[in-house]
Formats: sequence, C-alpha cells, structure tokens
Amino acid sequence: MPTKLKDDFQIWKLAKDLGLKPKDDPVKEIVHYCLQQVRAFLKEFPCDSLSDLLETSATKLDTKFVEIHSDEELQGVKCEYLNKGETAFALLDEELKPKVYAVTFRRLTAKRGERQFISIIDCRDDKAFRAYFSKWHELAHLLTLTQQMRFKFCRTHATENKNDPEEALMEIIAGEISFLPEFVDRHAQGEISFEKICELRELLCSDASFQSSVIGFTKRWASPCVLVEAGLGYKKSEIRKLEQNAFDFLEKPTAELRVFHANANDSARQAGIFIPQNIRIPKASIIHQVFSGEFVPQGEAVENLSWWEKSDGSSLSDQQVLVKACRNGEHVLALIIPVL
Amino acid sequence: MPTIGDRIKEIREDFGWTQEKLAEEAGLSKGFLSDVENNKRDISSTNVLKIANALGASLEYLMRGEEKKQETREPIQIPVALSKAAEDLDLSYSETLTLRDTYNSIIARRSSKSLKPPTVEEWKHLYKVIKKAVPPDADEAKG
Repeated sequence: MPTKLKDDFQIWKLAKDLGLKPKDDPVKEIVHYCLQQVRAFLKEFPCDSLSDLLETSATKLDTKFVEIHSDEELQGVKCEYLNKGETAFALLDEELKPKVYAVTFRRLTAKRGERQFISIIDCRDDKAFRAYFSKWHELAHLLTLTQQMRFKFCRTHATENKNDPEEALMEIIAGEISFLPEFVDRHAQGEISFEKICELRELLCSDASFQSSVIGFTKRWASPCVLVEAGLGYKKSEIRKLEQNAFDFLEKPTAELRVFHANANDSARQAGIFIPQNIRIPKASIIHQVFSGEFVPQGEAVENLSWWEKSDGSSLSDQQVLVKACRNGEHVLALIIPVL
Repeated sequence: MPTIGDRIKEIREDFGWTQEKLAEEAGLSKGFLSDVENNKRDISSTNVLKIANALGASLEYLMRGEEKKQETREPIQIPVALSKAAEDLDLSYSETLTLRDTYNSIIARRSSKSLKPPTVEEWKHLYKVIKKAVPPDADEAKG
C-alpha cells in the first residue's frame, strides 16, 4: 500500500461513519471500538475459550457460519439458499475464488427468527487452515457495518491492483479479537515454545490452525519474541530480473532460505530486536538444518543475530538469541528469543 | 403476548426438531425445555444462547420477539453503471432494484483482492448468472 493505513481516506471515513472522532489514528480507534463490542458480548455471556467467544460473537452479530469442504457442498448450499429466494447465492461459485476465503451475505428472505446474515467459510483444500481466522475476519466486517456500507458500490476509492484498505483493517481487527488478551495473557507467560503454543491452542481455540495460533500467541506473549517464517526466495533485484526474463542468456539465480515474514511482539520491539524481511537465513542457523530435514521436524539452538548478514554486507546487532525452529509444510517457523 | 417459551417452540417446530433433539443439541434437559416452552419455568439468557446456537436462530428474536422496524425513507441509489446495464438489458425498475439488492447483500468477503464497483459489463454478467441460477419458483419464496 502506497500510504499507511491510518492515513487512508476510506479508513477515516469509516471511523466517521461509525460515529468515532479519532485525533490521529483511526485504525486504533476502530480496533478499540470493535474490542469494546466483543468485550460487551463476553460480559453478557462469559466464555471459557476463544472458540466459545467466536460462536457467541457470531450469534450476537446475527450471523450463521456455514463451512464448505468440497465443491459438492458448495453446490448444495448454493441450491438450498437459491430455493429460498436468496438470489445472491447464484454468485457463490464466483465469489469463492482462490484468493477468497469467506463471504458474508445479508439475507433477503430471512423468515421470522432466522439470522439476518450468513457467513460462508471456504474450507476447501488449503483454505481450511485459515477457517478460524476467516470467521473472525467476517465478524470484523459485521462489527464495523454501517448504514453507509449497505451502498457499497458508492465507494470509488479502491484503485486497480491495490489491496483494499478496509480488508487490511479487517485483518488487523480480526488479529486483535481472535486472541483476546483476557483469555491469552494469563497463559502467555514464561518461555515461549511450540509445545506451549500447542497446549494453549487445545485449551483456548482448538479450531484454529497451528500457524494461526503461533502468530496469535506469539504476538501476545509477555516475553520478547520474534516469529519468523522462512522459505526459499530470491533477492529483490533477482525477482525483478526474473519477472523481466532477464536471465534468458545468463545463469538463473538460486533461491536461498530467506525470511518471508518477521513479526516482533511488543516486548521484542521495545527491546529493539528487529529482523528485516527477505534477509537470508545464516547457513549455521538451526533454521537451515530444520528446513533441510537433518533433524526431526524441529530443533533449537543458541545463536547470535550478528550471524545474519544484510544485502549491503552489514550484520544485525550482536545479540545472543535462542532459536526454536519447526517445519511447517514448505516453510519453517522460528521463534527468536533474546537471551538476556 | 408471545413469550420466550412460545418463540422457542415456534422456531423449534419450524426446524422440524423434537424437544428431545433440541435439548440434546443445546445441552439441556428435555424436562427443562418442555417446562420453558409451556411457560412453567423461566430461562436464563445463557440457556437461550445455547438454544439459539443449536438452532442457528436469531438470539434477538428468541429473547425479545419481533423488533418494530423503524420506517426510514432512504433515497434509492442506482449507480450509473447499473443504470446503463439495465438499459442495455431492458430491465424493469423492479428488476434493476432486485439486481442492486442482490449485489448489495454480499456485504463482506475475506480476500486480498481489491474491491471496485462493478462495471456495466460486470452488472450484465451478474444479471445473467443470477437469471440462470435462480429456480423459477424462488420468486414465490421471496414473497
């Protein structure tokens, strides 16, 4: 996105339409507004887990989740609702294209006592791993639904090839409400590990994917931690040349193990721990060994951030870290924990 | 005046469930559910939530019954592209509004693609897809 989300006109307009009066950060205000609503649900209906909170929030927001696990199920749901006069379901196939994980419809023919909305969650193939977060994302839309949004076609600010800022905002909101501090904080103490994360996932949100729970819990963990997702990739200059087919007569570059994403939690940011995106993973790192499968799918080692070399030749800061790495499909997830 | 018990019974019967089935799905005893439906016992909001979740029903309706809808007159807005498409397809005003309402009923999607208002061709495509997919008697269901 060319501008920061908090500077985007659509986001400021949404804040205004919600009756908010942000001073300089509408994103923060809107997130707070959504958190207040979810906390009100929790106060009215105490929940034991995040999964319970998800179901309760859906009920309070008057939507029904329908998961689709196969093409046949999709057609079945489509026919069921078309027969009820819900004409928008004619578009269900088109709506649930590869990059679309969920869609929410407002019912046109809801009978008395039926919920006003229905959220279709696409769980076919790899999309199943995102189902938990997709549900929260749909609820984020409902938490921020305004009268003005009913005339969605009036928005003319989304431009070609630009990720919609409101969608980006919904991801932020979903990230906050799906791992609500009230549930997580008392557990997210001590040394972080993949085992501890799995235990919490079972306890609080068993329907969340492993990756989703690693991201969510790491973010909330009290002690500093940077979550790295590593996979094979190229330098930016190499990517540009590959896209231009500039290597036709030259040797193509070799993909190397690089950081796809690096998310530092608040404590890590405060401690000044920073790992740039796309930096190469040091050959000596346990991350490399887990990736190449020399050990069982996970391992840990004490390393130093100064081993990490940037493209300009400089290194990251001299900081001893405990690295816990775990294979996740084609990638490796790693918890980088400063040794203080 | 209908009570919570009356509404629970109404929705349960619409769903085609027995009391036993609903009680099992909601994690309640059949005896308790029967008493509630027969207005012999009160029910906590937590248990109404369980029933709403089991039936996929509106919690608001079960708790409070039909809400009086405020009559608000909103200006009818038809985007230029839809208007052009409707003209090309020779749609009636009512058909045009139905097409607009159908599109607008898709209120949220989780995707990374950008959202743009439909073009004339996209409105026409939407109309054709809907016309092809909607069974002839679906209009009766809408009534």
